[in-house]
Amino acid sequence: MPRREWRIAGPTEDILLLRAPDASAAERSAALRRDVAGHAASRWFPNSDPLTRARLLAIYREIHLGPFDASSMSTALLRDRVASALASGTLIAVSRPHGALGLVGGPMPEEAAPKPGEAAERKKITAVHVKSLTFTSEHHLLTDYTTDWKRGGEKYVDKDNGKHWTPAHNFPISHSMNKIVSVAGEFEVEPPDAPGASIEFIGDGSIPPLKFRGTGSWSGKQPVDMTANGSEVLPKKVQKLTQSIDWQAQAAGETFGAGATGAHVVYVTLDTPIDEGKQEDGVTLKRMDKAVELVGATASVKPHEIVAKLMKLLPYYTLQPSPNVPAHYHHPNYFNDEGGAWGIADYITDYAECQAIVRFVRGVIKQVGCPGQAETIVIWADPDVQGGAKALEHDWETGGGLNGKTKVVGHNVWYAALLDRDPVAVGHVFSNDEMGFNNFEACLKFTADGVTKYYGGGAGVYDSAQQVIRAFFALAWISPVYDSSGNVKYRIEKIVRRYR
Amino acid sequence: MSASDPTVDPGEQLITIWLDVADRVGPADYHSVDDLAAVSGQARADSRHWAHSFFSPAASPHQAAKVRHSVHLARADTPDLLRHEYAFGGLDLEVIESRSFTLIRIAPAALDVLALPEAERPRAVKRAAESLLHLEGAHHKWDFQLPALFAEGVRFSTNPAADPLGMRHWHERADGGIRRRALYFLCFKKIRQILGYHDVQRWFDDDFRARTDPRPG
Repeated sequence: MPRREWRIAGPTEDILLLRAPDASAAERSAALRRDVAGHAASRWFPNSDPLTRARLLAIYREIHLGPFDASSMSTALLRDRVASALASGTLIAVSRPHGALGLVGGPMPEEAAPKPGEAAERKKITAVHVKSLTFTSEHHLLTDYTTDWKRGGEKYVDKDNGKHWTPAHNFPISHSMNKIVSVAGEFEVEPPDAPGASIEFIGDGSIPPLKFRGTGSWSGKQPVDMTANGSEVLPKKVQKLTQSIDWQAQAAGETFGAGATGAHVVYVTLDTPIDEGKQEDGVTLKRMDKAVELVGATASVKPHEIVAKLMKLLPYYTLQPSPNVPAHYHHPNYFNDEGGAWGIADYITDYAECQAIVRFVRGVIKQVGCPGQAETIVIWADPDVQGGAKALEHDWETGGGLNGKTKVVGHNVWYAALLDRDPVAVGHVFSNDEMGFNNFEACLKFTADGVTKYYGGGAGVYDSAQQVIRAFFALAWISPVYDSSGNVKYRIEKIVRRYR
Repeated sequence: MSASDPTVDPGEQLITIWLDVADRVGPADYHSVDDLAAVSGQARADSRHWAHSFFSPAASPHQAAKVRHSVHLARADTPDLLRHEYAFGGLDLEVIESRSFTLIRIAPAALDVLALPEAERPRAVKRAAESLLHLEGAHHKWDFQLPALFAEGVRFSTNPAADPLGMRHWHERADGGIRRRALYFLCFKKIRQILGYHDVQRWFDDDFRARTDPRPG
């Protein structure tokens, strides 16, 4: 039976084209009988119809009879192609008096059926206007919260029945890359008593993923609903698109400008944003905008490349609060109720604690749906575990690190510490400003595409915890040395292991 | 001094030194500053950061009204200090900060714990702590283990077993006591990542030192 139908309206009649490449002769005859029943002027086409070049071009383009630009073809060739399609049985065509066609492929509305002699007096469609547009394939997670970095706000999808655009508002969306954009539109037809018609809608958003072709049926009831898909998937690129869509409607052989929607703001992400319940999780417009900006700037869609480049935004970590960062963010650890580590986005050059950097990067990549598992971990070595040779790792939030590991030697208390500079030799004394006496190194442990890497805040990228520990110079036993000013310095008592 | 006495643990030694040095720096050793904004940026940020951790919000020297600020520039035997003097909740406070600790002293004229009947002293200390300190947060709850008898020099703590040098977080311990009849609380600016504390004589930057006390040396 007919697989697809087109209607091409002419000045005095409509032509119905039924494409049925697999139909048998009996099926084509049955379809024809059904379609032409009740229409006195119906007839086989093209035997009695002197087709104009314009109508041949319209048929050729509508049913894609060839791969070439038909405008350069001769009229004779066009006629031959259409006739061949008809002769081969891949195309059935009927023509009808104007206004008699009604809904293509559907039942004929009673009100659209003309009485003899009235057909030419029926009002034609004179205008089509877009009334709303909804992006049905977007994530439906974006909220309108932009006041600060906290999560919250109202989801756009919960506003105005999910319509993203109407003449009264224009909501942004987030959408996965490499996916087709699907839309649903509502259009208004003028005049309201125009005869029933099939309408083809064309949306031109300048770039192929936002070019749409859809159909709707006008049956006298406003609005006309349309659904359509973009002509291509969104490119594999994290980016913010700002794009208007110009709509056209083709009905009753005429093309109408149907208005424009937008400019639509489309945040193109790797995939659906991921919410694992962390403070930095949760989609808001402010977070999405920043995440797409930062990840887009990496010019990569490979998770490890993205993480590596994001970590380089903060090449150093700091343990010192910055006077530039507002107090409520609690720099440098960003333990706050203000969106946690998202505050870093506004104060990148003030750095942060390593764990905060990791939380920030994790929050950014989850916002854009970056696949992979991101964990904040601490890595250290223990003098009592293989003499400090083995790197140990533990989740940041639940412990780990040396944290005051001591032993008493003679009358002295010794502490174990990881040293970030050369301890030189036993007996040397350093302050914590001259030598980092560390309990651990904090890292982002990121696993994606079957690969695990350790990203240390300011300390490079490593393939294993064992490599991370080599960021330190040595593991040593040290003893505190006080002076009367209240300072604590440390004497190197024993170098347990040198890492470099 | 070193941690050579096995009967005194290193953390206790450190607390004693801090309390001593805060006493040793007298009022004449401070330079008044009109506005905290004039204070060395790093120290100002530190102070604000830790006040947020240690104080009940309204009692913070960064929130309270009519706070007089002054600084002491480190000498050979003293640290850089930032001092805030103000009244809060009917208490006259002197808050002395170094890079590694915050000491909150309550003037005996406003609250003389030792002048109170013995039975009322614990309640008075707890009331002061509740008024001034951030006793409970997302990751901590401070509950001072008060002594049976209060006397000059007495000390108490929320967690005396926590080593001030080696403990993981600042909130693992806060201390208090009576010294020169003044009730005080002592909080530790402990950072998880490092052992111990930063150099207390390098809190203020050189420009601030030069501006505050242009005398050479």
